[in-house]
Amino acid sequence: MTMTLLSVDGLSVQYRQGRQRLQALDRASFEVSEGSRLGVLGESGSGKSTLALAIPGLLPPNAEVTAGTVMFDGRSLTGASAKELEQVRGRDIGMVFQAAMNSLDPLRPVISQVMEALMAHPGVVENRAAARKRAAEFLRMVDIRDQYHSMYPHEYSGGMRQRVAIAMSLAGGPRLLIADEPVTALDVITQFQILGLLDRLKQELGLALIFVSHDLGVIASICDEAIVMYAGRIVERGTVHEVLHQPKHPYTEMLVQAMPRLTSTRGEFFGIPGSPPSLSSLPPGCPFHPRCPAVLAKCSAEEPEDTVLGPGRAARCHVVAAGVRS
Amino acid sequence: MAGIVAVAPAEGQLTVRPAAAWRQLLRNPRGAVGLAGLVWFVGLAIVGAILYKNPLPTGTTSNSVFLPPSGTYWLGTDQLGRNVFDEILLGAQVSVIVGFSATALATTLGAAIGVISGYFSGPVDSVLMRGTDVALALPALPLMVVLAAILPRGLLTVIGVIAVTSWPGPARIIRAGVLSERERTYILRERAVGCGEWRIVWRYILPAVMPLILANAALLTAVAVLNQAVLAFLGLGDPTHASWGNLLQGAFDGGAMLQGAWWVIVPPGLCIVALVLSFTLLSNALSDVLNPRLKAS
Repeated sequence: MTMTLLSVDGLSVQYRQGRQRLQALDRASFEVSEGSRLGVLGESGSGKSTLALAIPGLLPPNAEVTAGTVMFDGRSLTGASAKELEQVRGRDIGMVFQAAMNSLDPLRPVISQVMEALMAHPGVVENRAAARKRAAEFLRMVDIRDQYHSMYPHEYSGGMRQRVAIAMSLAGGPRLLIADEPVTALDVITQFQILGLLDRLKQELGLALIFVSHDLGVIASICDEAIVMYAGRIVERGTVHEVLHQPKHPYTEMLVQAMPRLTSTRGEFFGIPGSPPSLSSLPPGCPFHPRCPAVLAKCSAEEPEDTVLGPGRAARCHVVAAGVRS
Repeated sequence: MAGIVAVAPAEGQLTVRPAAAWRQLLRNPRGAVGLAGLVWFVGLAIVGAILYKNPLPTGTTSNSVFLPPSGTYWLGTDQLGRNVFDEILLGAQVSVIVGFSATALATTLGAAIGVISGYFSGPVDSVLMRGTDVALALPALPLMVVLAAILPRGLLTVIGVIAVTSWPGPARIIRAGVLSERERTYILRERAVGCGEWRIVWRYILPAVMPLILANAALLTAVAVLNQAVLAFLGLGDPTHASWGNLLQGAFDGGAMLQGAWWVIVPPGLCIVALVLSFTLLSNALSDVLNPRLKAS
């Protein structure tokens, strides 16, 4: 049995917007074991990025954790001070962001930025010369050849920049890497390279990975487990195979069907009718019920709770609950 | 397309490499003229400091008052029979010293307040910006006059008074630059790497807004030079050191206008205009060179 590295329990996050409070994350609970890979699936605005930012305490100032805990390797991150969180970031938890184009400082050569990441924590490298050597090793690890090390970010392609961002996130030797849509803006060939790189790093460094994406194919190809988010709630969880091939929640089911296939003929596509609810006016009951094909009477009255379907397998749905009971 | 819009600003910033920036500045007509003026007056100040031991020339004889320009007195003499050319040369020192020192002080203060206020937002920002609003709302000239009148006379007072009245503008401008810079993804990524907030401010935010600070400092120097002349003209400068403002004041009080002694009034006036113009042109060129985004629009 592998050790639990990260455990998120009942995590809720609200954004203040004027006088309104928007519930971006509602009682999210999940665990990540050492060396395992968790995919977080969901549409725009489903709370994926909020979840990713909340774990290392990087939420913007207008967001607030209103309930729940994040435990990393036995330490509470939700109760940690700003200084303690700085220690955790980079050293224990690395992070890669979506905007590869903008995630490097345009004013500095690439290698000097990797050096900065190494020198952000005391004790990682002794001096600048050592930092330079280590930075070059990290860049080589992500397949950036030596002649490119002293170039500026604008001389790099999107994929190269994202690889540099990955190298920087690994500089402090973290055990968990949170990747928030790391391949979203990249073309498929670059996507393939980045995914291959992440997979290789996982093997070589024994990294645990939280991979946030709206792309089912990407999640299927890199993750062991998956959670599906809708309107700030985790509506389904299980192994990637279970979630994508035997989805229980009607939303997951429709999401899988909605994915375009190479074998489909022109004009044949399937979408989920309606649009995701606005966080400022969530429908009563289950937030998915206005779009749900299997809607029950109680769906609009009462919010469903998790129905546990097995170890690590659950869905938050009245229909699933009714199906289990009958 | 969206991609081009997103990439252009980041690439534009790269001209900030010092060597390239110098070359561009010299190629820019305004930059070249401004820089030439600056070098010229700094040169005058240095020559003045080397040639003259006494910072305030004394008059020669009683019958040498308001002599027109001649072979002996290149720019004539003033109401006390002093050589105007000597005074012009010595006055350059005061203008250059006050201009640079007051700007250094005001820019440091303004940059510190702007950067802290912009980066740390929240209550810190509110307090600092309300303070800046108050300082901005006070009329600069009366405040300078009052302060210079109650503080002991001297160059340090002049520098301090000018600095105190000119930091709020830069603070505001720099804060605005920081506000847009801190929202960049690479700042978030830097925090995700575990970089401390002060380290981010020092190593990322400050260099990113440096073009703004520099261009603004050049403009501030122009204003400081002018303010020094104003204070000296109002009799609130340093009376122990010749300056262009002092020269104008003396000429005005001594009735140079009635005597038709234009040579006491025109040279210091032209010097002030030329130095102020040099710094203004330089500032203008600097913001073009360091911030090409502005030039495009």
